[in-house]
Amino acid sequence: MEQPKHIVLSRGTELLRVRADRLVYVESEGNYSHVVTLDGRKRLVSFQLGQIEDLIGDQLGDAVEGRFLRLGRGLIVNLDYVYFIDVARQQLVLSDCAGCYHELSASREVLQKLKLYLENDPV
Amino acid sequence: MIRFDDIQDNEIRVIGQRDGHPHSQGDGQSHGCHASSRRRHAVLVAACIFCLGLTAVLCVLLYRHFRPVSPEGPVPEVFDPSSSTVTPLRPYRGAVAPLSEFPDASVLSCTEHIRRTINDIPLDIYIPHNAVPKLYVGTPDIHDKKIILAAQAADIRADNGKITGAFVLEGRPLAWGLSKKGYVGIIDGKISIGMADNSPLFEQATETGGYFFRQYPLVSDGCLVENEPKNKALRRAICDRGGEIFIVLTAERESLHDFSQALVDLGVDEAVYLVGASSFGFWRDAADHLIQFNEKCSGGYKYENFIVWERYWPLG
Repeated sequence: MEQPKHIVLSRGTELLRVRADRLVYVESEGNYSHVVTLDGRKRLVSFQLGQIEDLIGDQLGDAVEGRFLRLGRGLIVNLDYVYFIDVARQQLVLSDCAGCYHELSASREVLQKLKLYLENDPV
Repeated sequence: MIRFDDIQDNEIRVIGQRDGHPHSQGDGQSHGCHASSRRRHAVLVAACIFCLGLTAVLCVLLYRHFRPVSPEGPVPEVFDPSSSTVTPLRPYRGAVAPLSEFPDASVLSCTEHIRRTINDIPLDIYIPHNAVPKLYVGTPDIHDKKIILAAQAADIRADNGKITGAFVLEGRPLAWGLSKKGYVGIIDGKISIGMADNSPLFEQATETGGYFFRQYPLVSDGCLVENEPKNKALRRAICDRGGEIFIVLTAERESLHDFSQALVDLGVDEAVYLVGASSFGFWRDAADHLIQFNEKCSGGYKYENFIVWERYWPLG
């Protein structure tokens, strides 16, 4: 049985280790980022979103391809949890249809591209 | 490691894609076309810059060749930088009416909150009244009723948890170095905000038991200062507008450029950035209600620091 992949964010005296399939989204907050996991916890880490994007790509290798998407400058989302997109209202809902439910906002262009991506290449 | 810093707000990108280019779903462009278009654009820009430079050189040469020579010898230029005193290129601002709507005679120690929208950017302005500013290392107690306004001041280095840039606490230097040119000095309870490589306020603060910290400069002499970070985030700044000191928060995520421009258009003379995003802070209104900017996150850094205003106790 394949072991679950983890994303490790380590800096200074702190280390955050999250199972890739439990990572719902990462949101930019200036030079910091909020890492949001399936249990609804939101943890601020001192990494820029671009650095986290690099780390996800490096640490997950082939396993990551197609699972995570960078949306503009502000978001990284796990495609497994994309539940609802409303381009007109600039609304993106991430949910596991169980206990996890997050309403996010993104630009119309980004949501339109995400919608097309999922229509053409559903995960 | 590939660095992905080139994504725009309207682009999406599949993480882990081998070529590392933004995903171009829906815009009908292939990666090759995109890169080629960028190269063409760069060449065009370079050519334009070269042509402009060439034109400028020709103009200077022609001007020198045909310039009339005064019979009395060389006439001093109206503006001779070598002999004149340096006059800052500061637009005339005149006397500005204060933003505060509090009566001058009020002895109430509290924070006044005003909402203004500048260039479609909603700004929350917090003006402390009848209070003394100081810096504080650690997290101020929200139940300490002396404090009427608190906001995070200098940045903390993520790698070692130390304060970024020079920092003086009650005359004790806790950090040295110049990482950002903006500074805030508090000497004898008076705040000075500005931009300089070296500020005598650092020494003054150490000699007089004062306070000093550094941050990004946003506005200097009423003019916008450009800064490197281009991302959008919730922004904060400490401002001096005709001697009136206040803190400004954006209600929405803004770039540093747009935030600085809004402060310029608000009439701010000097502004220096404060820790933004979801950083902790709080204020007390005229009815002594406590309002928090954000909840305090657990596990803060040892040298997390704040600028706080304490009321003239027990006057308030």
